[in-house]
Amino acid sequence: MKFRYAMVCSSNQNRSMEAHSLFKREGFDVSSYGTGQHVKLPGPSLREPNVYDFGTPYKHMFDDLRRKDPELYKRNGILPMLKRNLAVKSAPQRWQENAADGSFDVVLTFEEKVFDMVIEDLHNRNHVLMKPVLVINLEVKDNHEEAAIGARLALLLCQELESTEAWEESIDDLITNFERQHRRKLLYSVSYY
Amino acid sequence: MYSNELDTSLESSWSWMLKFRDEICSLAFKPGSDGRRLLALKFMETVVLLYTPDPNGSSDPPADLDSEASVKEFNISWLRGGHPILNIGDLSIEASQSLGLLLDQLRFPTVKSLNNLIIIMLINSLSAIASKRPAFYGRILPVLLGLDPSSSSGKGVHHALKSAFLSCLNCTHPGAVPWRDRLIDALRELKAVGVAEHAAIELASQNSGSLERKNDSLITQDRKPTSKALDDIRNDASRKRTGMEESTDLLEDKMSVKRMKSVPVTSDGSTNDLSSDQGRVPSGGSGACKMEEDSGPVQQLVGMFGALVAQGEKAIASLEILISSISADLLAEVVIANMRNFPSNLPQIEGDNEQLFGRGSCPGMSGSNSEFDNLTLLLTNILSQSSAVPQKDSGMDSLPSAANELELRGTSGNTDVPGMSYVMEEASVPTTTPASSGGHAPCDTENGSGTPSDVIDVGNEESEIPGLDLPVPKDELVITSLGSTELKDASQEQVSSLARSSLELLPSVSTDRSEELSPRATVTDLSCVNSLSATSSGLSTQLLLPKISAPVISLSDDQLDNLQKPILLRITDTYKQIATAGGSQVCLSVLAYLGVKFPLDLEPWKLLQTHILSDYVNHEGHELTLRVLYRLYGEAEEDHDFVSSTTAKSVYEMFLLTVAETLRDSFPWPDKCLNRLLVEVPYLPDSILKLLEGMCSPGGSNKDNNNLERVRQGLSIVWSLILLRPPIRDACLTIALKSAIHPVEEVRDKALRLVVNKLYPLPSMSRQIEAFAWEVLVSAANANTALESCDADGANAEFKDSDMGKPSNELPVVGTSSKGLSAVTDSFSISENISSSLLAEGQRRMALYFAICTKNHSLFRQIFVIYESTSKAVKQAVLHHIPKLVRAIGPSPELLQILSDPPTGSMKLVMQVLHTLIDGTTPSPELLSTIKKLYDTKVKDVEILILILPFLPKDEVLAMFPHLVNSPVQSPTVAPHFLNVCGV
Repeated sequence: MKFRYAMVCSSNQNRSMEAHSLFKREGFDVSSYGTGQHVKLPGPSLREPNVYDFGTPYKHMFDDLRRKDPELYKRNGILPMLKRNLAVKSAPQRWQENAADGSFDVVLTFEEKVFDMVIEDLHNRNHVLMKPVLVINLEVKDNHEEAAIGARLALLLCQELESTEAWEESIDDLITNFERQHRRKLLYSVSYY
Repeated sequence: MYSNELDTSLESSWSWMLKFRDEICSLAFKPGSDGRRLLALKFMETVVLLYTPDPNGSSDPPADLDSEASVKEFNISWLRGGHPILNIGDLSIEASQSLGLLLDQLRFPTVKSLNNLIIIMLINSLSAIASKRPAFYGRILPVLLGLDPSSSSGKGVHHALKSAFLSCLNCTHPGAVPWRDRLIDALRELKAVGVAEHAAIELASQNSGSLERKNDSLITQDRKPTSKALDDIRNDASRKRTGMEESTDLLEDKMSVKRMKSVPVTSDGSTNDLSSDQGRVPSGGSGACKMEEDSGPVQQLVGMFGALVAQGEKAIASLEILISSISADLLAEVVIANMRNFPSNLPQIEGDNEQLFGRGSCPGMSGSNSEFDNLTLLLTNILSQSSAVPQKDSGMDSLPSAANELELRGTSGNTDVPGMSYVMEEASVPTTTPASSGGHAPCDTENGSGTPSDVIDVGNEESEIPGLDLPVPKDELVITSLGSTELKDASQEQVSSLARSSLELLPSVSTDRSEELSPRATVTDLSCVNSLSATSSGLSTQLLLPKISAPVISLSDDQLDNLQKPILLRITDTYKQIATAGGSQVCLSVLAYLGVKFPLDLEPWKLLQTHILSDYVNHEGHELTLRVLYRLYGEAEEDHDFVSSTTAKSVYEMFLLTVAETLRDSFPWPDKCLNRLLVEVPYLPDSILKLLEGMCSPGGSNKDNNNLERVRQGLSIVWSLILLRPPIRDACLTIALKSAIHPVEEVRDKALRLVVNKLYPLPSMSRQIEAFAWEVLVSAANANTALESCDADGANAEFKDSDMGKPSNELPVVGTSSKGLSAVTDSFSISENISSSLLAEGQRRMALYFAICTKNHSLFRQIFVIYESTSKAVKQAVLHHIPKLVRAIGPSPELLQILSDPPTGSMKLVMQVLHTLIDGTTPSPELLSTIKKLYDTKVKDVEILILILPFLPKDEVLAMFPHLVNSPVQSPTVAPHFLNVCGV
């Protein structure tokens, strides 16, 4: 695998972690992040979401929710999701605080808002390396089922990218073909490290 | 080193630097590798930024130039004091030239030859330069604004342009201000290009709120920026808690979109008529021209009314002509369009009372602030002149305007509710007065007296609800209400409860009225206006509006909680009464809507559930449950964040599960309530499938009637779901198949009937069923073999004995039908070593395969194939099943083919089949020939001949005689047959 990938969603729980998990299994060099202020997980009601800071270990969240209402969080898929997550990495990470993680070649976002935030954040960083980074948005609804579908599509897309000599030369065709084949609209942009 | 040498080296290195720069810059425009061009373009962007002063940076160099941070923030302004080599002026010129080259790339026709990647890169670079160096706005933005997004195929270009415009819009530099209007217009154009940009463009509009409002809203002065409300509503999971004020802002935005769409539909004729008047329409400001284009004639009319009103009394006649010349629908549109010009907060200062005059009574209230002042002046004059008009009348007149206000707000509430329109259409209440178009107060006196009285009635009911006298926190829900002087005189509590109750009922009830804004009704209004407008007294009555009190009640979350629960309870209670009067559709909508709007932790669902389940049939439980579930489904599927969608999904599951469990227990078979519900709900979660599985495959071996009825009910539902819900067919089939191998025979039989008679004939399922049945059959053979391996030797020996000897010895005279068969079965009498449980298990697992063999005879062969390798218990189970199966199949061609060439080791089975086939019937000639062929080719056992001896002609029997005599088997059945043949 020649590229280094980052998967980004809002809370680094569902979509980005589903993709991270899949990419990791497939042997990609991948990291994942969230762009939100906090990590928000569903609670007993809309007014009582479970809010954690980025960096709180998935294990801690898992234990916390299992203690609170195992039945509810098992039924709505949160506990299985956290279990999957803690097998991938220890804690959710925030995109805006990832400068120390080095540069990525390809960043995949799963929501236009997140895409904009990533672009803006990259834009505001000091461009020292002058190394281009391809940022692609694949719109995926934030639920378990769609996240699984989105992760598979992301994998297909990145496998296509890997198969090219240099993405700069073929990105337009690649995106167009992908959109036609999978009936999904993609957004992409270029930024620099 | 001397200083002149240093200078020389510096000059030399700088000249090399320039050569390097030129080389790189030339790469940026050479066709070839896009990867190289990307880097070269970025290099040029950096050069432009380095060569031009940063207005936001310090113009003095930092004290410590060695630190890395200082170098990163280099500003050419530092060199203003002079530099031996670098000349700021020259560098600026070079930057300008480089920028020109970059801009040329995006100009037609060069841009046509670029691919999307390079265009995106150029847009990003130029927007970065524009944002960081606002002095270049004037050069960069015309090029970016001139780009035609529709000519580009890539959506990335649209997005890059949109982002560029947004970032330029956010720039606070004074040089950026003149461009804001054009940027907003450009963003609106992009909105038309792609639906996906919709949300972002709205955000852009909100970001530029002050400017846009200046153009669009001519009265609003203290209106709060709505961007926060939009963000909150769109993103925050707890948006259900945002106040009605914020919601109204959002709704108004949506409404305006809706209106824009509906204008061409409403009255084309009017639009055409108006075209000639367009020249007279005063411009609402240069920045608003796009908005007016979007809104079409409605906005123009608003402006026209504003202009006429601004002319004062002399324009009264023109106003009348204008009002009478446009259609009622369009007039209503004008009033609605003008609604958003009202301030969301009613003025706090007593001195501002004049603003209240325009509410719902004057459609032409628009224009500018000065125009509004003129109108106020006019009205004040008229008021002072017409002192003869009694206050009471004016009070009556004000009521319809209040009703209009409520109705119109209700309309905006409707736009926020996806999927409600069909409900609304059904839910029209013919008894309510059709909404009068705003501005025709005099002719609506009759109607108006009816409409508010309804509202007041509700208000009286609601007046008992506590929590209204609590203090008013800031930034909470703001409720406005319009009341007459009479209302004001009434108790404050009653008025505020009117406001509150009407507010809560708005989303459905009052919307229905606005939906009834039929042309017929408004035409009546219009004619009424025409007749009245003939006299000036009519006009004066129209304009004579009282001072309207505006109570503002803010409620905290807790107070809302305290109110909402009783409201829901009250509605559910009154619903029971209304249902008998035929208004159930409205109530169902209200209940489902409130269920969604109320915070989940108030558990509105439990209240609804209690209501539904207390009397499912009479409370139209099915309909209400469906509405609630569809609302929840909509919430979950809407593009919300993870928390909202997951919570809605969770509530959906629990709601459906609870109702389904209650129906299962309360309405047993043959009731179809549960069946109907599960077929019609938006989707079935796993918990429901588990419930079904539990019904079809009850735990344990309890075969009480309740369980069996539940199995029938469950299987009936499974069958319906398979027919009507193709996506979950596999899951339903799995449930049915699981039930078909249930340990309890009664349960199994019911499931087998469904699987074999109904599901197996479906082509899409037959393969799956066969595969499953075969798998279970093989697993039965393997499992029992493993279990019996421990006592293999003894049992096998015994089985061999029984296999070879006993049957023939005990075989009675053929023709004794069932007795004979039972004897055959008994001949394999259950060995004590084979436990009955193993036999039952074998039968359980084989039942399905045997059952589908009756439908597909060719499958029968597999039983013969595996027969030899199976265990005793399985053999026994096979032999137990065979008679039923063979009788069902009969001597079919497939079976005869199997018998004519049976797999090795299946002789016992063959004999069993033959016995069954011949038992009690005269074998067909085909069967006889098959058996003779079998004897001739494969089986040299005369026993097989003995079976058919009674049915053979005399000469054939005589021919067989030697074989029979020489046979080692001394069957007692042979002699009688032979004697019979010989005629003895």
